[in-house]
Amino acid sequence: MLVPIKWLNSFVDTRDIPFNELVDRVSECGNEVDSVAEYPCQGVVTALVESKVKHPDADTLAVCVVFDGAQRHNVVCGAPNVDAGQIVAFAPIGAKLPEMVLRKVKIRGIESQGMICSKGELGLPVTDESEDGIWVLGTHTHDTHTHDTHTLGTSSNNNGDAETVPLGLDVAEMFAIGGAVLDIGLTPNRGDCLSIRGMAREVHAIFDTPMKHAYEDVIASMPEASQSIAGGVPTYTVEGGAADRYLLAKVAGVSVGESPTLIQARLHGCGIRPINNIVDTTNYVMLELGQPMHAFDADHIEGDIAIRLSGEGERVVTLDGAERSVPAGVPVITDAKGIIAIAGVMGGLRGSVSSSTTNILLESAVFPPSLVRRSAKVLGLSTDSSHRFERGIDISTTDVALRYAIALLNTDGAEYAYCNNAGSEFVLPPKPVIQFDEEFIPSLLGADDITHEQITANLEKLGYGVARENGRYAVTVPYHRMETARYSADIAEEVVRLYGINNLPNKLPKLFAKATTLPQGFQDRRNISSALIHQGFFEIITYPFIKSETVTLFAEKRGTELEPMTLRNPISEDMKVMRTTMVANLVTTFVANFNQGVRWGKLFEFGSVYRHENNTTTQNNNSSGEGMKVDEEPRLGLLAYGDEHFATYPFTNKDTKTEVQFFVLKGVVTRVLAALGADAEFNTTDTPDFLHPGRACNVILKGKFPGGKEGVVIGIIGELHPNVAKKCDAPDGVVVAEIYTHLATSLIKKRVPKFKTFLRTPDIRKDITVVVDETTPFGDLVQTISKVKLGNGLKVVDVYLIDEYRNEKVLQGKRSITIRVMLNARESTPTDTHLSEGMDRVVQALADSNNAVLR
Amino acid sequence: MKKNTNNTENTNTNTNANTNIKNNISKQLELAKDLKQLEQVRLNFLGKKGTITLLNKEIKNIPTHERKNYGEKVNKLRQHFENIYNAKKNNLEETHLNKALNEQTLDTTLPGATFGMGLGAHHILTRVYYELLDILISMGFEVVDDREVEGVFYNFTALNMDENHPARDEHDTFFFDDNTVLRTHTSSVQIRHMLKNKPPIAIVSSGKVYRSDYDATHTPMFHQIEGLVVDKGTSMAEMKGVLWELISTFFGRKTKLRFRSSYFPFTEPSAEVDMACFSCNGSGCRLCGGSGWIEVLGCGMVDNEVFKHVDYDHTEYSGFAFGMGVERMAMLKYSIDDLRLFYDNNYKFLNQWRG
Repeated sequence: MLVPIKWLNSFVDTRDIPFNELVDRVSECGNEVDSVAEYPCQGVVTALVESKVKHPDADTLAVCVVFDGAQRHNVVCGAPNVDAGQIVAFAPIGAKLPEMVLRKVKIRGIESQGMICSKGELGLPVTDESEDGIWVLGTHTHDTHTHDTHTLGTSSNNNGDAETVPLGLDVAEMFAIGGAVLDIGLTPNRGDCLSIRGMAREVHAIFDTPMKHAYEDVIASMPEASQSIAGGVPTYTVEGGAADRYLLAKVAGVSVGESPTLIQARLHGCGIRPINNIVDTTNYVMLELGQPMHAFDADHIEGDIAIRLSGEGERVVTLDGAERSVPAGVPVITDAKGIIAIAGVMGGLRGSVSSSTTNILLESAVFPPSLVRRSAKVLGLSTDSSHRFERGIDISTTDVALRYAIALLNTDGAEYAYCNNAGSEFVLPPKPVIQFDEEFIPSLLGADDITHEQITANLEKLGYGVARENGRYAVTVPYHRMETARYSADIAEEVVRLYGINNLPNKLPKLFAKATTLPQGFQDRRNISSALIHQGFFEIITYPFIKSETVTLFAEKRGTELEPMTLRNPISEDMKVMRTTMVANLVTTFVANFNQGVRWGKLFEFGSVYRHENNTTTQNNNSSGEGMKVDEEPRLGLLAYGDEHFATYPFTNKDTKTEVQFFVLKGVVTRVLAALGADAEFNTTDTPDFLHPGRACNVILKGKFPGGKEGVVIGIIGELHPNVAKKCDAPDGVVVAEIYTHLATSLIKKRVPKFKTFLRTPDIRKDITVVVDETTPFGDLVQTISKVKLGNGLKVVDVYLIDEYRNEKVLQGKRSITIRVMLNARESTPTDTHLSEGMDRVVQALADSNNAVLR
Repeated sequence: MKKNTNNTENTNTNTNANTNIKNNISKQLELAKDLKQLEQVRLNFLGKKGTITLLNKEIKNIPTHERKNYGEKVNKLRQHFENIYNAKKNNLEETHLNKALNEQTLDTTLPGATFGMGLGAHHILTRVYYELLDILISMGFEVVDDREVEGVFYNFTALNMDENHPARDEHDTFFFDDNTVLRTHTSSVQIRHMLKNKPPIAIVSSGKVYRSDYDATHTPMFHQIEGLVVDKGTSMAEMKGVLWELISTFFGRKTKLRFRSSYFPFTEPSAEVDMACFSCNGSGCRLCGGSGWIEVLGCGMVDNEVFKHVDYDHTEYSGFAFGMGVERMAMLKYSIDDLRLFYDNNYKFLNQWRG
């Protein structure tokens, strides 16, 4: 909210407070000053144009002699409307304006000692195009200087100002032009600060500066209301709790025109455009007192007024010309013909004030905050009025505001009369009283030396009533805080914000002796991340919402009864559906870097994938606030690509990069699985469609699982399918992997190993070379060997691949594999005989199960 | 060696022979150029048919009363040989070793064999995240974690933000349906914890949060860390103390904090916390927008309404909560100037955070 200091000063004089201190303390006490704007306007004074002659060397220029009450100045002026006898706003040399600092200049050879200003040059709003010329403050006859000091701002002739004006007065001060404007970021609980009066109250409480209520003087000097008025006054009725308070008055005989300059300048300082005196007055009262108002054209209103809640299907054409469907159950103002305003939000077109209006109805009211909020939200409208109604209005000054508005408009003796309330009489609700133990506030704040006198004083400065007795406080809440002061903690806040949170000591809570460990997921993440980092991987973090097409492209076969989740209100179509695999974003990120010339990629990401549970995509219409059932699964994604420096991998025949890539990533995955304590094996059944069918495998967790399952898929590894790579603009040979870390952790029961005694004799290694079909997977051979019963207390400790050899000429359709079997016995060192018997069994098993021929 | 019967002659001849042998030893050992040749010399003297070995065998031909003397002389000769031999052997071995060392010299300034596996890195957000968590853990906070897709009860209602609450507007939220959102803060995790655990508690919840806001200074997803302490007599002064410890430790310097009264629906009283700008020390600069202060945290005493939703007795217990954006902390500590860098994942950004 914008707060012009000059306007604020009419309530509390801040001129003696150092500006930085004002800004800092107002901020610290809860109303953060986001920025300060300065509108320089210094040294501009009222002056009389004594004479005007045409400039000898320029057709459109004139040379004037301007008298400021003390000195005469020669001024060259180009305005078409300047004339002798005018009282003008004169900026002498050295004066500061928003756009310039005045200096002595020569205009077409003649020295000009200042400038006669237009409204625009002073930073004032220009409401009429014909206002191109200089601003004429008044006129003066040649023979006298009169010293009438007609109060400015209460007349409504065209220039808005008094006819005779003293000379040499500071124009900026007179019309509240310029100065600093604070932009304050108000929090939603401070509806009471949405006005100059409200902010003045804050400053008064913080700095103890006395507070004036100038508007009360204006009200005091207004004439009495008429008992009857031409055209009569409608009655009004409030029904169904549509308004908490409602007042209406009729003002007859107004003429719609420009507002006085002071009002225009103040509105402008608050960022509101002046429109006409009627509209401006309602805005002015709203800004100054915090009471929004509305004006109707009385002659376009038919019959009596009802303030009620809307029904189903009602419509209205609003002020802006749009036809709107009014939501049911919100407050509306109606006359005999229908809705004339959506209460608190926007007026209707019918009954609105126009340039031909002569009689108006002025409304000052308080509507229930939650209803106005709903109204504004459904209609998608947010106005200065609705904003204030939503946050709470001071219900005790609704009538004061109405009188003030009438007084501001009441010129040329226009009549006014109050409309009658045909419903139940309004009774000011009692102020809430909040009670609590006197130790509550010092204890909650931890303030060792706060006294009850300080507590009481702080509250009283803010308008609260304080009584303390028998160890209990009873605090009466003022009307302007009724919406938001609910219970004792709110009172504590009022106390501490004036006391200064910074003045509280720094203490530490008592130590908790409870020991905790990091959740398993966190521990795993840290361990795995370390391992990956040391293998050269970089962690990325990406948004989980992506394009729908991408989700489809990377769909998994498994669990397709679980649906992807779509945001109802995404930021864009590209960020609409929640990812169902970590792979997609790894590819996208890699491609983005690839396009920047980065020719390798070793990336990982920890994150979740999301799907609807139970195949339900229908909305969860419960009112308990529980969300829909979601399968949110933390996973690890990996990506590898690169054409530099990879160690040759001995187990392939063709030394192409892409083949190596797969096994390099598989090696990484192996280490990750070890870090998880997973006993895993690999198969190629049903790998996802987005992977190359011949270069992909599943990671299977070994064990027995519920439902008789032997082995659960806990991950995948594979090269991207060429079609997918193409669609993603990725080069060939990108390898990806995904480990379902959360799933794995939930299934792996024993993480803490138990010690097993070991034989202190060295393991014995036996190498054999066998020839098998090219298509026989090495894994099968390992399986066979592991299951062999070797006899004589021997067991297989490990199986390694030593070498693989292919040669089309020598071994058509076959390959030769050298395997190292590590053996040991449980109890005593095995003899050579036992060993060769055991190995014979191995060879036999390989021959039987895998058609392997010993070489 | 001739057989001698005359003792004196024997002695003289023996002495001469001795000297000859010794000369021989010296000469041959000196001539040995490598270990192989040296071994040959050794065999010449101490081998099966070696000079000294034969002398030893001769002892059976020496008169008994002279055998002791003879034996001693042969022994001395043997020792003489072995001394020079050993010295020569060491010498040769050393030379051999040095030669080998020299030939094996490498250009050690060549790059290490990382095979493209230079050190990777955590994402800087993860790193800052762990830094902050570790500080809080060291102060006794327990880490808790829960889901990102949340029901509106846990994300809003329990935090005193019902449908009509004005503050709900300020959370521009992602919805899946009327009741399901992407969480807008990690406070929902704290609600779930409180529903399952009785006070006293000291917990930190953290992770990804989502808001429908995407411009130069906002991303639709970001990271938060929030803390919560509930006990009997917990006070605002204790909140200040904890936050001072946290901020000072994180930024590695004793810092000045300024608490400004503010508003959150779930705390009362509430505050926003600024830290003295470390770039200009409070005099005003670009980093702090001229004010001398940088906003780092929001905090406050837990509102009664929140306690009601989790069935905590607010007459017995009080608590404080605080929260911060991880991106913000990372940008401040590591001088990162553009929020979007975190989610572009450009290699040139990622690889700055090794070590």
